[in-house]
Amino acid sequence: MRKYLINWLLPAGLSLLGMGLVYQGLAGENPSNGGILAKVFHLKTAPSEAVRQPLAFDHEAHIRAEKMECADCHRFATAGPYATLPKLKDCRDCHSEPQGQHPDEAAVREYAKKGMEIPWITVNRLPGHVYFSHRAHVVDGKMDCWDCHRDMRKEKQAAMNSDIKALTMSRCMACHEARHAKNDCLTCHK
Amino acid sequence: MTSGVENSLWTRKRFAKALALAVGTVLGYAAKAFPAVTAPVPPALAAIKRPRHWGMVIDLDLCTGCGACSVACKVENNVPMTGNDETHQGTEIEWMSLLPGPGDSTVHRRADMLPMPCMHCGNAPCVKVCPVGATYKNEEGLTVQIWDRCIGCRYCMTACPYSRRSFNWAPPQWPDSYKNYLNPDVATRPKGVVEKCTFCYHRIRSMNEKAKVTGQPPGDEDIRYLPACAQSCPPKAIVFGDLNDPQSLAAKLSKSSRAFTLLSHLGTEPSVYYLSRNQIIDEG
Amino acid sequence: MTTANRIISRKTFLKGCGLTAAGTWLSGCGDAGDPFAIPKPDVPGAQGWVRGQERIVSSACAQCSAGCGIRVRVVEGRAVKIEGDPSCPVNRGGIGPRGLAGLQALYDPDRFQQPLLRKGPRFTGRLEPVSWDSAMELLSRRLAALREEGRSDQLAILCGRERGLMRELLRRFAQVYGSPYFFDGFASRNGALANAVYYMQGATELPAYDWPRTQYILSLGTEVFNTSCQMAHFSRTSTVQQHRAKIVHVASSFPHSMSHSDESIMISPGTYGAFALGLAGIIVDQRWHDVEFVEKYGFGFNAWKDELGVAHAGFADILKHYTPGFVSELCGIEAPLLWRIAKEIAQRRPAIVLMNTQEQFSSNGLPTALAVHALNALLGSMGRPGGILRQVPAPVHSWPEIQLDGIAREKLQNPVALGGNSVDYFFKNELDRLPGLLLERKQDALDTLLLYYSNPLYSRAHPATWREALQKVPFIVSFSPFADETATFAADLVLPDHTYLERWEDSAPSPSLGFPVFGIRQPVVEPLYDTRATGDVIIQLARQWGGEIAKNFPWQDFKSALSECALGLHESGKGSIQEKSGKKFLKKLFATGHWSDAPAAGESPRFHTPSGKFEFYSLRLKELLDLRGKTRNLSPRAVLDGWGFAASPDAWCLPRHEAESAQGATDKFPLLLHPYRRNTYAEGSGANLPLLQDMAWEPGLPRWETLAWIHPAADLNQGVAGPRPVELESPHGKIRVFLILSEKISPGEIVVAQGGGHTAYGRFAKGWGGNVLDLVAPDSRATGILPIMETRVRINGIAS
Repeated sequence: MRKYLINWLLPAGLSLLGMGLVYQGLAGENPSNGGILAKVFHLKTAPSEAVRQPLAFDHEAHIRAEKMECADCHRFATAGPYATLPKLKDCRDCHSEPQGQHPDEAAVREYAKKGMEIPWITVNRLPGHVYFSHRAHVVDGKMDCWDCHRDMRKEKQAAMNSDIKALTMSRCMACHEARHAKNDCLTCHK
Repeated sequence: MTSGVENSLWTRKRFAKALALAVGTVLGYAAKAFPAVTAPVPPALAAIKRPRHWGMVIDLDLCTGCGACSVACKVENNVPMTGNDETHQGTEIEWMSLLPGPGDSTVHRRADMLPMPCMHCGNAPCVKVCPVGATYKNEEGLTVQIWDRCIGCRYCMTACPYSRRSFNWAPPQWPDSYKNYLNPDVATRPKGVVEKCTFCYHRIRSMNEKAKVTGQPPGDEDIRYLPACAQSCPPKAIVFGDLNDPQSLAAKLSKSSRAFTLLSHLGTEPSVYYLSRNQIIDEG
Repeated sequence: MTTANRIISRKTFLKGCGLTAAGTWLSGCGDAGDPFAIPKPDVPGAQGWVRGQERIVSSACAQCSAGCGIRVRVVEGRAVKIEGDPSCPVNRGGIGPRGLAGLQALYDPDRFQQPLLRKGPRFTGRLEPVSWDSAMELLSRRLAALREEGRSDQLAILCGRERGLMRELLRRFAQVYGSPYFFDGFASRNGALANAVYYMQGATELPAYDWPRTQYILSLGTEVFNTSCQMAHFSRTSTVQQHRAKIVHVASSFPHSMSHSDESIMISPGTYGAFALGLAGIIVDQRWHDVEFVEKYGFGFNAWKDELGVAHAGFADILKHYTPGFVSELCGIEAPLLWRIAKEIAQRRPAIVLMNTQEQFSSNGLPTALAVHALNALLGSMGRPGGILRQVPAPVHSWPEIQLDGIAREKLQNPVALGGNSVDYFFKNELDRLPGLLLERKQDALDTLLLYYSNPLYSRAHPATWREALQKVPFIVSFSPFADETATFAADLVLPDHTYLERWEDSAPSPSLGFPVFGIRQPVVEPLYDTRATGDVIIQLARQWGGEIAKNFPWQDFKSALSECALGLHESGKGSIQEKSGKKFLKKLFATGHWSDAPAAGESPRFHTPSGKFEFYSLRLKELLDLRGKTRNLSPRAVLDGWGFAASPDAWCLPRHEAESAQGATDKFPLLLHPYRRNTYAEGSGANLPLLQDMAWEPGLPRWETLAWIHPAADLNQGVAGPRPVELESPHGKIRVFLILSEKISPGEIVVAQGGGHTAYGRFAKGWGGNVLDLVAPDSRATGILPIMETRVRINGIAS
């Protein structure tokens, strides 16, 4: 019985206590940086490894040469919480007939023939307890996409991993503070 | 061939752009011609900037005790089910409960039921005891609980004189198909976390955002039915609103001669008022 | 030894640390990595939505018959919230708990997901998946063969819908096919009130109550505002009702701690009729009644003579017996109280006297309902603002007139399977006779039974008798979307319907506003499973047979049949939706979810009775009595004796009080059973919605139990006092209930909540509580009403 106590319960209890202290330190020490948990969750929920997108979408070509805007394809960036990925219809508007030589262009028409959406892979995912609205930032906050995202005007491909410049709570809060936006917990937490 | 492509491009995307540009220009001129329409700070936004004090008034003379508020709350806020499992007896999670009144058989009332959300006390006992700052008062008068900051010590549950806080003794569970109806605007709470009513803050937030983007201030009528309980209430016994706005119905009703708060002698200063012709709640 | 020990202990130490750490992490994290978001399963149609995209779809609730308009929030192809529609006049934005819990019906994890065919015998066999094509062929062949053999009357249809086009469609199908056995209107249409309204007013629909403008509500029976869809209708009025009508609630027991009233009066069980007549007696005696109405529109108020010169008694003669002294003794109240209520109700007009549907299910239901309705007439409430309104039907197009072929005509006139229309029963609905009729007949008298929204193995009196009776029917088809008892145990073929959030339908609200409202139900999400709308199935069935039958179903699907009807609203030129073309009208109708017509100007009361007046003395009841006497060559007195009524033939056609005749000996079964419906009951169909079952009656009372209340004095020294599970027994069965003592219950009564005791119907419904209907006698005796309010029971002792 005593052996059991020493071998199992004591270390277990000690480590629990330790965990608790560490947790408190991380979570409670400085409310403004949000503790380590936000970072941990971020790491867990955003894919860290590069993903293979179904098509090689050249952002630069579309933005520079065709003078398109982000919201032409990420349609809800100004209208809702999620910027959203383009639907097949958005591509077909121009690519129902060939525009160039790239083989992936034909693939768009293949998807159309099959009646299938292009299975874009979402690379940016927020943790479940965070509310983020593109509309609030873009329309009300008058921010540009590249204030948070990688500057896709220079990218010759679709995003293959998270393109947010370090999505951390402290970064969000610093920016909110600088722009006199609310920093109440409920502004972003749900 | 090439010219055909050029043509089709012109007719589609570029034409749309040209059209948008034209419409934009016209609108721009219109804005200049009528400067009042685009005043630098629309009164709507100014109104939003004034600190609000969210409050609720529940008219017990109208309440029929049907339970819609409680069910609406559970669906809206992803409150876990209790289910028919004896081990879960007494661990029910309910943000909006229907509690019986004193049950005095000599006095007859419309409904002897008390719908009880979190009182969002002005002087909240739960906030004072939280060791990690997971619960606090925000500037809009809400008693906020941040799920991911809570360490589950349950001091706040002990401190709350209204028993309006619940603890997640088990991870929330739903049959797979039920997960379809979970509200994406509200986080699910993991095991080991205390949860409570938020006055459906996610709905307030989206209303605020819409108002800011469109410049249209939400009317008292829009605000009145914001929380799920107030919106669903069949006899409209629950009125929600800004207590700081003297014009809001909630503020007016909270000053009615029928108005009272629960356990007011404790000095908790609840933001939830009740209306009744009979002063049914004994102090204490 | 020691070293080894130490090594192990070190290892275990490390393990202990690791485990604890892992445990802490897991408990914080959940299975999916993110503890704050639960991934949703894939659903049909979700692919067409972009992330976060949402839509609000207008529709109508189907969780009770109130007919509330709803707005469903659909996010990424999944319905996430049902809200009341503020623009719908029925509910004005509110919605009851059942309506809110509708998502759990849509996403019920135990729903039927494809057609099923029974393998092995009933009650023990299994249902196995089968394709729609082969299921339809099976049913189509069977019905076609039956008809060819000239046995079309061996098809019967049970339709659980009381109103609406699906009921019309099924009735049409039965007729065209050639079967008179179409049973419908389970809940209120066969109740005593519906019959009283028919016999006195000639109306075939329940009346609408003008809650917003009434001054006084006298509610007779248990918790009218809690137990019926009147709750939704009544609630609507709170915002407009500035003056606040006084609500007086008269009942034998008050099980719920809430009483939606300004005053509660406890009277002896089963004496509501006497109470109403006592009030009427005082009102007439004092000439407080609406003399103008009675003289202008009343028939049979005073003694009258028929065309043969025979003198008959009138209502006023009957009232002479109900003196305040007599009534107060019968009801167990004080006479001055009766006087006070009579004075109040006469002074605070317009007034409404209301009778609870549940109280109608007793042998004296009809006389009680006649008495209540007569009181309303005396108070001048008929057709008056603030009183009792005639529900004007919506001006929809009717479908093309039915064309019968020879087979159908022959079988509708001379059906043999269950016998012809008899006058044995003076109630129109014969559903509750069905098990008796089946048991009297030989095997296979009925060949095929179609069940639409009906689950008799749970929700009809004495399911055990139904079980026996259903064994006599060779082929049973259920259209239930849910795995209810009848489908699970007795159906040979299950052709699951969509749920109400996946199909096209009209909502057909129960009478409430007086002016017409037409609601639309439409798919808010794509059908989750391989199910089909029963309306489409019936139309397809009829069309593939061709000939005369197909001609009666000239629609591609149920939606076009529905649209055809709805266009009548457009052509009427009235109402809330005004559009130039029919197409635009339909588009607008589907977008808003409902059509309504502004309140009509006050019309003078019209009565479709033989006398053309409001009949205190019902000539239709007299006709019934005479006809029965003529066909059997009996005197009216003998006919009534045969039915078991002591009243004189004249009194039988007039409002009166009759003592209840409870089943079971008083000494053996000392308690009178009083089944009680909570607002979540809805014919037993709320049991699979855990959101409703999680709701406590009161904090501290157990959930997921069948609660029963008795007066503390009625414990009868059985030592079972206190909240605990006990066994309840009647002459017909036994169930387990959870006993609670309450002062608000009449001594001698036991109030038992309905809704528990399912043996199927999904994981949440099954296996808790008891079904009150197990205790109730299966036969409806002469009255044609199930005597579910008058069964006697006893407590057998503590249950495990």
